[in-house]
Amino acid sequence: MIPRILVVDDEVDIPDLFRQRFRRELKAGAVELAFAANGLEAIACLQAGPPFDMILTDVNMPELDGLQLLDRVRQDWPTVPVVLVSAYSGQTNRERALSLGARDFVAKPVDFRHLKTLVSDVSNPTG
Amino acid sequence: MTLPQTIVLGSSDDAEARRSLDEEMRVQQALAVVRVLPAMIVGNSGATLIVALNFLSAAPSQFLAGWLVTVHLLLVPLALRWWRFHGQPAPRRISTRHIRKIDAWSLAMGLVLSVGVIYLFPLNGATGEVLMYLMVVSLACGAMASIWMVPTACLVYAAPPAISLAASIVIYGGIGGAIASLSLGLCTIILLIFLRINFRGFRDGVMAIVERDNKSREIDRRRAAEERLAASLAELQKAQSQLIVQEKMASLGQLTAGIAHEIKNPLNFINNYAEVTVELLEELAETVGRIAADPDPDDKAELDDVMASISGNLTRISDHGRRADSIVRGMLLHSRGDVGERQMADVNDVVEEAINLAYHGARAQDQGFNVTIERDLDPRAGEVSMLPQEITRVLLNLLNNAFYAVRRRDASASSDYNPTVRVSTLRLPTRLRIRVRDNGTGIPADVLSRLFQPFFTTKPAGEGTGLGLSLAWDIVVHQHRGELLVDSTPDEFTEFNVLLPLDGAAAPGTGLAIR
Repeated sequence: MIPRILVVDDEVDIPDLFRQRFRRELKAGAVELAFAANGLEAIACLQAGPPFDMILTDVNMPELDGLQLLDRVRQDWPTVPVVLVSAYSGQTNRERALSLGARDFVAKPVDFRHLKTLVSDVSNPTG
Repeated sequence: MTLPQTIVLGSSDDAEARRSLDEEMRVQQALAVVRVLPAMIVGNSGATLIVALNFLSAAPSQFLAGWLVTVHLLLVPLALRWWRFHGQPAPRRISTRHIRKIDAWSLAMGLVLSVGVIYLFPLNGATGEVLMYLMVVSLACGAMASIWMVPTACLVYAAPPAISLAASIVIYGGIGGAIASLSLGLCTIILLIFLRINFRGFRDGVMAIVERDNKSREIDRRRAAEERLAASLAELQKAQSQLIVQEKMASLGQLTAGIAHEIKNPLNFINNYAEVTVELLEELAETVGRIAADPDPDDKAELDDVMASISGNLTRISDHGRRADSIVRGMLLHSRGDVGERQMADVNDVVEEAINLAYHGARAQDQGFNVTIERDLDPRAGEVSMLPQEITRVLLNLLNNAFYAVRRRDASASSDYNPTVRVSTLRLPTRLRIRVRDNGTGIPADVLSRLFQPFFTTKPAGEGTGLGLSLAWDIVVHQHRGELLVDSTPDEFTEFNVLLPLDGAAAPGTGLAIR
């Protein structure tokens, strides 16, 4: 199974950064990445399918932000894990994100090694 | 007492100068009452004694001397006064030196007259010599009193001899009594004339002294009050500047979280692109090694791909580094105490920056905070001469207030409420309008009238200094010669309009802030 990851962020360089950081995995066909610039685009992607195995979303975004997206995903796609990425690090924010049903909370600057571990956990749930 | 050192008459200010001089002279005269009082007492007592002794000795020549002395005491001051004020041609220049010169002449003349009277009617024997000396002293004192032109002094000085003469009528009768009666009558007439002439001047002089003393006391009081006021003002200014710094720090604190968010985004790219570039370089080394050993077209393509990625990554690192630098610079500008430099600034850019900072600041405080920000920025807005940091500060304040209002309404409103803040710019013929409108709680009329007052706040203690809008007012109205208008309907909307003149020259230059 190739894990499909939806990355939601309004920063224009994000798709390029993810493609470079996951270049080996992409080349090896170990992961599939899709990108959305905000919550509304993300929902459109989710509705269009095929289903995603994980959503990595920024919190601060125009239109529909990360927390609203999380809420929506919890309702409509409850099995898809959501990882929130935010510059607002801190225990309170982390706890709040987890209490809202996020799989994890990743602070910016993003540690891609940790992110890759999360992706690997999704593709190998038992491992 | 200081007289005007030199007053030039004949100029257009003649009347004023003369009035001032007259008043000053009246003051001088009245003051002289106090100055010559001891001389009057001594001189008067001496003269009284002489006249009394002359009566007792009953010598006609000495009695006549007593009479002449008495009359002289009244006549000399009158004559001197007339001579001083009426006998002199009006000098073009009147100075204290000039007046003192006249005083000296008066004194000399009085003394000569007095001594002359004594030598015309000499007293006999040792007692007579003592009396003569006493008379010289008393006459000198009398002359001093007269020279100062003090009517009361002369009156007091002359009264006892007159009483002595009256007593002589009772005691001696006859020729002596007749002469004494004549003396008394003459004295009385002269006194009345003298009083008539001098009373008004004396009264005015005393009034002037009282007035001046009052003025002097008033000046002292005012000076003390002014000193206290200046001290209080300095304290207040110090407190005000501290409060302004506090307000700036408070708004900076609100912004810090937003700025931190802003800066972490470029840092995210810098760190990750740097790391991925290191990985790419490792791959590059491997590929170069393979090409050196066994050239392969696929390896060549990969090499080109990696090289392109490295080059792109380094460019992105540089771009995001600059972005972070710009954010830090912006933060430093906001934390600085001064108002920055007046410059042509793109209004829409300033508005966008303020929206970004305010939004992220609000989000940092409350992650659950949600607001729709509508932008309607006039593409013709262009550049306006302004102090960009200060205008950003104004907009941050207006936006923070707008966010606060929609958040409050959101907490109590029904679920279909959509918190919205609309920011628009519009270039008018002579001015540029920046409008911040929110659909929050609105502002009641009684609050509206006090909105720009310093320290007025409706926020709970600790949440607002009450200086935000008053500083905004100062920045827009005083620093930019613009207008800051507010309109609101409770539970409907609040709208602030910042109007900046397009003509930058009409606004004051840098540094005219109240800070």
